[in-house]
Amino acid sequence: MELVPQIIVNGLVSGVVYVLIALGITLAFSILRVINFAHGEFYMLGAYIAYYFSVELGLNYWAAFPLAVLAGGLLGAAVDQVLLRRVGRELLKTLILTLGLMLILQSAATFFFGTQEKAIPSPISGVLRSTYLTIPKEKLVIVLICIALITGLLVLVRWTKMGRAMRAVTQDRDAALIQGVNVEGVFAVAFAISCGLAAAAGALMATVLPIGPFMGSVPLLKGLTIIILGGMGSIPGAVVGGLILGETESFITFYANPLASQLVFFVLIILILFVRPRGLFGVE
Amino acid sequence: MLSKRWKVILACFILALLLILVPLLLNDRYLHLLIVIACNIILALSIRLIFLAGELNVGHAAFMGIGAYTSALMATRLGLSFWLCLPTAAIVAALVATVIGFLALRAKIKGWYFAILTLAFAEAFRLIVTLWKGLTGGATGVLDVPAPYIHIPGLPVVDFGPKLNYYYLALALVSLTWVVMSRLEHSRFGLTLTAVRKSDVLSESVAINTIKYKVIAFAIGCAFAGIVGSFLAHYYYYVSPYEYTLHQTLYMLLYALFGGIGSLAGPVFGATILTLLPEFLRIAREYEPAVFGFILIITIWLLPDGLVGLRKYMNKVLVRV
Repeated sequence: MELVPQIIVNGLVSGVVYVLIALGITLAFSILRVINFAHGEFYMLGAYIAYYFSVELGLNYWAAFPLAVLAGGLLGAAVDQVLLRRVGRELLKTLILTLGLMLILQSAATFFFGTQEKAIPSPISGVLRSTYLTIPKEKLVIVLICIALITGLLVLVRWTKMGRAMRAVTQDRDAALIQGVNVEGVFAVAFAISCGLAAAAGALMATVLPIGPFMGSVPLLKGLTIIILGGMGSIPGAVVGGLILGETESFITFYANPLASQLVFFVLIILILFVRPRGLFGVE
Repeated sequence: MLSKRWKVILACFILALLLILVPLLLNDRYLHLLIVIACNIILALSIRLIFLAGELNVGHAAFMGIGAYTSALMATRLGLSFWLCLPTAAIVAALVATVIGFLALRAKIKGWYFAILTLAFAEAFRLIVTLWKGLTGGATGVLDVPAPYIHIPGLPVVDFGPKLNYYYLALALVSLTWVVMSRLEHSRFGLTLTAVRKSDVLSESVAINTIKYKVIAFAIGCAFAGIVGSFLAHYYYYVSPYEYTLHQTLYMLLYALFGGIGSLAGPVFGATILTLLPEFLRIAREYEPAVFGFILIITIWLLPDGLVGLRKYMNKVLVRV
């Protein structure tokens, strides 16, 4: 039983990273009405860009991190304006476009970096220790940065002009357009933030997990589980869902095995879709 | 001059003759390609049928997997004949699809939600197969799946060792798929499906049971995926969980979309060209996904109606010129 606090803390660390990923998916879904199936690849991209700048170019990790986020965001805006806009963000076409993008980004990563796994040496070392808990400082920093980013997003959506425009577009696209909201601009910014958050999550996790071209598929599926659990398009849903998922996974991985915990997620997705399709916080 | 009807019949006859006779001259490598093309055509046609009902099955590969495992386990554990395994595989895949489709659509799971549901189902299937070592052999899969053979008393045994026999079997399966699909499409059922796809609310208002039609399309589509799964299990002599991934489903979608989902010919062209393409371009295996990804995006971007749509477009341009 003395391991329980440790399991909870481990769950919290992965939980906040899941929240970042899920927030990105939920933002794109509520504002653009699209699900980006290449979302996990932006996560992977963030990890590789951070790796490229910090290891291959020898930059400080804390300089590489914002660059990775920025690159993810810019690419996201470009994907939205060049690809998604062209097909009218229609369901099937978007789905197929983003699935195609997934294949391309995975191959691009293989092309530039090979299939061998890479690693970023941790920028912070040292461990906080107490009777029941051992927390590596790097994980603590990851949690703090994630919380800062999540708070930043909440502040943006709630209290800024852009946030108000986003909420207006979510409620009624046409009405927002009539009121003079630059809807395309909101779409581009929202998709950029969505992809930037995924890149941030990837760049952070790259310091503790191995980096590979196919690292994105698991976070995508977890992100989807979370937004289905929390309610598609709900920000509080994404936060609570992410934390629940992180903790559940931490416990199942500890007491059973990682494959079993993955299976639990998929079964969870299916069950929630049947029992409560709008999720915990969704409205409809 | 021959009438149009006779021209079509003649063209079909010549095509059939070519498909039957030419492979006699081909070596194993090309026969293998033709067999793979045949399987991909069936998969593309079957995923298109579900598409026509307005839903996207992101788990099509899993239904292929269900067929493959059903068939492989029946043949290896129970020692049953391939000719019994193949239809059973189709029926099991269709049954699973019926249950999932019925429950999902009744719970109003459609559009994005249906896509995610099928994705989750496909991943769950893969993990269950990997974890349930006692039944499925886990990650190793089921090995030594026997080749089919035909034994009619009084006639010599036809063994499926040589690829040519497999080719004829695949050809028969493609023909079956084509006949079923075109009969469906040109029937009342096909028209109703189109109505359901265009607007399910409107269809319901004219007393069409949309759930019923969607479930039937889903079940038939998945049955054909099951048939391909069963065929490939016996053709490759093994099944493993790594064969039935999201990538597989993506390729099937790509075949259908690249050719154009507006007509039956579209997926046939799409599957044929895209199966041959990597073979002739000699693309390294690891970059194949990128090439396919580009084709996928360019198709959606520039050819919304696929290759078949391109011909119509060219006609329009030529008329204008």
